[in-house]
Amino acid sequence: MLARRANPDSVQTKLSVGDLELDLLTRKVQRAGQDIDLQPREFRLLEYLMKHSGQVVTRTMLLENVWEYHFDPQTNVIDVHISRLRSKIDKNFEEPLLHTIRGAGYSLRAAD
Amino acid sequence: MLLTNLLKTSTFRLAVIYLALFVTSVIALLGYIYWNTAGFLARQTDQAVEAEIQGLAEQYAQGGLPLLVHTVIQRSRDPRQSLYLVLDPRGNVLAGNLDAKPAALQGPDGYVEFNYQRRTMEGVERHAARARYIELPEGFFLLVGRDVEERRNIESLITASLIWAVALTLGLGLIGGLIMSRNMLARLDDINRTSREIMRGDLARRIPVSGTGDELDQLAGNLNNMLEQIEALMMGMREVTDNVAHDLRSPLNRLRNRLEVTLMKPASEADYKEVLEKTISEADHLLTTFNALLSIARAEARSSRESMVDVDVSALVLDAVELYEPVAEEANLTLKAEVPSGLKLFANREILSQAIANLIDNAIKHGRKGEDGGEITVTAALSQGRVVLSVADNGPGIPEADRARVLERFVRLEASRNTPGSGLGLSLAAAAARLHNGQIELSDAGPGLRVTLSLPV
Repeated sequence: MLARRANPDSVQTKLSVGDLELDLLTRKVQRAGQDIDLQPREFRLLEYLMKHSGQVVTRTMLLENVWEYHFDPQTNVIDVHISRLRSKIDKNFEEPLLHTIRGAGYSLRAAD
Repeated sequence: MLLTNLLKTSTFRLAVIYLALFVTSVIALLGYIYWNTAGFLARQTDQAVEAEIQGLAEQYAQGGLPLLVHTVIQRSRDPRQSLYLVLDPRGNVLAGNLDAKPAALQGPDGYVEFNYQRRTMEGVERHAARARYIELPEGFFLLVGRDVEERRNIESLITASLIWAVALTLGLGLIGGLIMSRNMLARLDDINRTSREIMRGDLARRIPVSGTGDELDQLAGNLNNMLEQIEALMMGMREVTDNVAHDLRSPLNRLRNRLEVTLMKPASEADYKEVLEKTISEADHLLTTFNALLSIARAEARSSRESMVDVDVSALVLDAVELYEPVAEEANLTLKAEVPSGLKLFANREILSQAIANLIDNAIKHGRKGEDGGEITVTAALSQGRVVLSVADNGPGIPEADRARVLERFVRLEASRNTPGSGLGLSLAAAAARLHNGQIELSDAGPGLRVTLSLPV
């Protein structure tokens, strides 16, 4: 983030939270140097979460911005998508990055 | 019914206008007849009298007084209705069948109307007469007249019939106008009374139709149809409100009671937190229900028709399938999509994708449970100018008798009482079908339920 502020003209093509990295050009995701294989929608989900890292992201925000749905599905479909993503980015690593904020939504953040 | 009301009706005003026209034409007609009969007779009499008096004046000029007196005496004997009088300058009667000069003479010559005593076989009668008189040279006076009693009688007869005819026309016209106005007013009163009763809240009232098929009947028929629709809408509204009240009251009560119970006894921070989290989740559930209701209302609103665009239905269906795929997998169901690419439809994207999502949601919730082989098939196809979308599960299905009912708002079958849901998913799909002028059909997928949306392109 500091790097972006230092060079406002440069297009940011890489996002990172902790040891998780996402390359918008090559569409590759790595955590601690390991490749993580994501479906296109999972990629967009992670991209959105990373762009809002440190913030609480609600289910409605995800539905609107990742799926472009402006309604609440009767079932919490987002929870299942999140748990899938979580199993890919957090499962084999010690420190969880994707946190559930009960009653509010989710937050992607590295430990302080 | 007040007379003043009657007089204020447009029918009565119209009747009065026609009456005035009619009376005017009756007067004109009778006036013409009068002029042609009585007037004609009068003119004829005047002409005859004029000719005769001129003839006598000529005789006087040629033969002097003796010839005139002689002729007058001769003619006076004729029992017909001619009247004669010749006077000398002093006023003495020289000849004629009148006793004296009429009183009302004006000027040396002219016409005069007077009454005289006529001797008949029955005695003496007072008769009307009209005469022409002139002053002859040397101060002699000559009068020639006719008895006009009979003409007078005819005249008064014609005048009387004229008055009677006008009076009768006026009377009949007024009565007719009043009766017509009263009939009209009675029927309008029916409409007004019914309207007032409906305004007071008796929506089941209908305006009586007389059955003649006239314009008032058409008006009443249209108003009744309008009332029919309003009543149906009101019933729908009432049903929805009742259901909303019923379906939202219990979760709200539960929520409130839990908070109350928590407040009553001291608890740790962790306990409070847990209760708050449960409360949030219940509030979320309530919000979902409200949002679903709003979506249906939106699908039924006219403005949704205006926000239609060309929609790639294939992509829309595949997106919904993709959204639900993880949920289906978690429920041990296979979600299959048979969707050809490039299906297009002029549609409201938001509402259509929500309808599809709801159908898949339902299929996951009510499809085959707890055993392998659970399957949901989503298909889309173009058939006979219609985009046909269907979602089928292989679960227990819905008995045929209940299929129409589950499309209504908040209807949840006993079998699914324990499944989470608001009972609004199919209602929205039905509203979406209506919005796109299409149909929704529930059928047996053998086994399972198939919901088909058939939307005209």
